[in-house]
Amino acid sequence: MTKESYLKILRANLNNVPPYEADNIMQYYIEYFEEAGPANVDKVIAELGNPKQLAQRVTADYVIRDIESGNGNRTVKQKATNTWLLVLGIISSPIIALVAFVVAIVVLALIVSFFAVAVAFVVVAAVTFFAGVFTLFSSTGFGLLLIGLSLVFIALTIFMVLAAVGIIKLVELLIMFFAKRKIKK
Amino acid sequence: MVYQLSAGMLDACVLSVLEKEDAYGYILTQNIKNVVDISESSLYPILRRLQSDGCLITYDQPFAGRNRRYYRITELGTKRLDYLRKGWDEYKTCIDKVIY
Repeated sequence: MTKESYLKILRANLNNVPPYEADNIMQYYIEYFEEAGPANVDKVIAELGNPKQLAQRVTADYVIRDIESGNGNRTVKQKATNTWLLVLGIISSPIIALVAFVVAIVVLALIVSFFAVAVAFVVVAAVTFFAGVFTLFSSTGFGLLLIGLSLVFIALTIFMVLAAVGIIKLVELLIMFFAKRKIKK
Repeated sequence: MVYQLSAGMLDACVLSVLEKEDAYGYILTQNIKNVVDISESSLYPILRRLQSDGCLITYDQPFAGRNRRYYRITELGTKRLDYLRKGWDEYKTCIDKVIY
């Protein structure tokens, strides 16, 4: 690989940082190559590693700095993008990629099943509630029991949703933790 | 090297090199590479973070028809370095007590 193609790949993969930051990064690495001299191009490339991975690492680092500086509110979409960029920054080998993939599948399955259970509970709560209201006229005691039961299911629904949201937050924190360890080593 | 360098130690290395004199990215990396193995990574993220923390500033100086970006330690950076040195001393003493 030549210095030019290395820098080109690096630049092409910096599309997730603001232009001024990309310029900063490029200036640093262009200067780095120039200081090392034409004779050391291969050495520098070996030292810096795969240009795409370098771009992902410096992007993840930018994201961490941006999050830590606490720049205002973020939309869910921005948060998701940031999390994804951090994941890319952590993944440095096929094995880590595989582990991340498996973890992602498990977490996704958990979240989906939590929400599915929550939906089922809502249905059960609705049915029990109406059954309770109708039974109220014929048998007050049993009717109240059913209405009470429906309230229990509403509580369980809320619990399931909170648990699912909790898992998402936990995963976010874990990714942040690993990204920080990796980037700031 | 047997032991892994933690985040704070690299910061301390960079800041202590800059405490002696201003330096540009390449020479800074060479200086630190002599002491610790930082292969497969570069100093850019560390320098950038120290810069946004206000521990160092940059300025460009022309050299051979282009610019060299120099890094200079700030007062805040010197304070951070003092703090990191104290921490390192404490850590070193603790470990020494156990292993000797």
